[in-house]
Amino acid sequence: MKILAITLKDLQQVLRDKRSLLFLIAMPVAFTLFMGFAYRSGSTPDTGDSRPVLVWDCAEPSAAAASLRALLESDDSIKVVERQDATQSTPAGTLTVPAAFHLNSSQANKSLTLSVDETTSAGQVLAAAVRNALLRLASAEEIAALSGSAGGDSAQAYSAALDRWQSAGEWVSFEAGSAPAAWYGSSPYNQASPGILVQFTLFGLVTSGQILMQERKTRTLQRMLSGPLSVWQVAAGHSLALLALVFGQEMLLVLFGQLALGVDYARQAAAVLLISLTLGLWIAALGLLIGALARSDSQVVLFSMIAMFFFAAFGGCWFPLEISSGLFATIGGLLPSAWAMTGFQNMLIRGLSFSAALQPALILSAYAAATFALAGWVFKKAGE
Amino acid sequence: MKKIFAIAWKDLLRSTRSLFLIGMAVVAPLLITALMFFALGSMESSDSSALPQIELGIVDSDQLPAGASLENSLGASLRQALSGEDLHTWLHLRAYSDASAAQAALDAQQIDAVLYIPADFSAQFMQGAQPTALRVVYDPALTITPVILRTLLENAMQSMQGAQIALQILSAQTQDPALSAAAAAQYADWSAQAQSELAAGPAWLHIVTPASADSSSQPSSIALILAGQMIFFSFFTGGYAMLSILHEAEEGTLARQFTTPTARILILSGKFLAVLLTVILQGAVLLAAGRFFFGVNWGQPGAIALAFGGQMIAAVGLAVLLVALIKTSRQSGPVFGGLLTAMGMLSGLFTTNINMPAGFDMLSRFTPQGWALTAWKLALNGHATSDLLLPAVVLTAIGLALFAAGAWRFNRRFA
Repeated sequence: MKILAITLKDLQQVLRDKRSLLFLIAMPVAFTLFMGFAYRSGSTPDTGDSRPVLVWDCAEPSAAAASLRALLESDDSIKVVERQDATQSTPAGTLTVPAAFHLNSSQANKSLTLSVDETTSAGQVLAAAVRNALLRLASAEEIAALSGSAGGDSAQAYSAALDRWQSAGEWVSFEAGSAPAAWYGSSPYNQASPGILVQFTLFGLVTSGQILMQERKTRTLQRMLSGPLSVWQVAAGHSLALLALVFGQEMLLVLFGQLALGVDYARQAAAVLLISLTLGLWIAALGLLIGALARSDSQVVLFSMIAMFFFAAFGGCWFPLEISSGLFATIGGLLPSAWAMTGFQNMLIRGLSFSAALQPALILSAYAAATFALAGWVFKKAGE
Repeated sequence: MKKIFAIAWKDLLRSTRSLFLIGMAVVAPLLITALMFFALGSMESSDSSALPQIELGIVDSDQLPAGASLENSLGASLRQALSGEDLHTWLHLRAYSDASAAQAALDAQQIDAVLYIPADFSAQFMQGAQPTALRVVYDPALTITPVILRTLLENAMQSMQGAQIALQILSAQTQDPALSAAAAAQYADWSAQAQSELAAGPAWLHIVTPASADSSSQPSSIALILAGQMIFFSFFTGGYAMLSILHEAEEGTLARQFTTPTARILILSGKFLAVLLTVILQGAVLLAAGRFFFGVNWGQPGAIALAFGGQMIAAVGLAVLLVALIKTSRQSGPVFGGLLTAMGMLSGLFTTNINMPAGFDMLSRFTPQGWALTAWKLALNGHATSDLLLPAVVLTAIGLALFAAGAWRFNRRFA
């Protein structure tokens, strides 16, 4: 009962400050929308011909140039247009082919120039397509040469090889692994929504940590400890309030993701609840630790902001850890924020079953227990 | 004037003694910049050690047909090629006997993708037919790994396709199995050499970057990241330095100062000046750190001065208004943390290296941080000082308007 009284007191204190509450809810909603737009901007449009356009710039096409053009056109990943038609589309690159182009001729006559920005995905696709076409053209010439040396008809071999290359099908297919019913990874909000959820529950530490700070500043904590309450009861009361706040914030953001953004949290609602609860436990323990460690309101803000930036950036809340370099990804993958993201992604992107939430939840619980033990010890010291 | 400087000096000393302010003003922006630098290092590096480590599961069901002239099945040859010296630093293969074991490993994220090689792959290849395609199933949460695997496997398949075409055409022409096999072997050697030559960049294929996208004429990613963080934290620093008024009001020292013969306007001016000096000091430290630690070329001196000056005025103006609006220092955490972070995001301070939709570029025009970023981008791009006049004027106007509103509010509050 005494623990609950402390919990209710803390909750009343937080809920009284409407302006802070607004930031805890409105800010993550705005940020989720923002990050969703940011991720979406990096992807290709859903409608129309989104293939990158290559401008073919060849004033006097030789036979080899015509073959190269035909090989490029047989590649479904790009669209080839003439220079004069380039104004009707947004080209990703230009291939300039010299007059009398031939692969086995002098350097000047086989010198091709591909103007492309290879830092973009469209540029990379174009460069790969041009390399492929050149390799196929060179392959046809090599087969013709081998045919000639073996006493065959090299011209016929060249022509047959080109035909085969132009009609060559795919020898390797790619598909995203997922639950048999559907793939859930098509929306950028599947990354943005849980990412911002984790980041802003960490940001909530500012408000909750300040309550503990106030208690210490006004000596209320020492007064409470001089009564029949033990340190652990006081810590448990505060932690329960922090957990209620964090969990409430998580649920509101989950609802927003589900109803407004189409992020399918409801598909595995029990798993989402489990991840949210264990994440909440860890953040509540972290809040207790920050509240016990900080010596002023400013320090609460500083520690909370550092925790938010550190765990969000390293834990893959802003961008998938896969795109970061080796050491960063390795360290980041061990953090509780990364495990929370893994738990959410298992449900939202990988489309896995409830059992895939168990390992992340167990690890988050272990982090929560360790952080709570440390916070309790610091809290006890702070109360002395 | 002497009194204004005395108050400003006292507040500045107080700020520089605050570990919190130093942490937020200097350590945090440098730390985040370094984090982003290391996090995104692999995206900009061409070094293979920066590639993501890929765990590839293989279920090889390929069987060499009876009487085949090949020593190994094509599946085995492919596995051998994928475990080559040049790939083993970032590509790690794990063999699985059946599809369910591989799928379980994929679901548990022990591997990033599974390559399934069908049982009749070699047989169909040798019959001259298009073989059943290899199948790659990858973790849908990954973005770069599938692209890398696609490039790698398509190249390998291109070699096999070429070998099949060569073998068929030469067999049909020579009608001599021994001769065509020897020619096909020659072709295989040529193919391996041609692929590596093409990958290395042959002298006859020049890949040039268009002037509009030439990275040598554009600021480095780290420069843009640091500029974004410098702007974000200068507004933060301004706000927290300005909080000293609220702290003094709460502690009662401000009321005591107002009982002295010093005019209120002088006391407030001294405090505003202290905020400006703190923000200037912070900016100067970050500019120097950017130059010496990250090698950032900030641009021409005149351009730097305009971007820096405009940013300082806007940061102080916003700080004065925000602190004038909040009632207690406790509210500063959520308000500064939330509002300034939101404005920073809307201004593109955290997405300096991402092409945002045009709508967001327009949104950034409504925030002082957005104009500050525009100014720094121009300076970093090496633009002339005159090109920065517009953003500098806008920043100054915004800063003065915010300052006026804040000062008016303070006057009413402490009247």
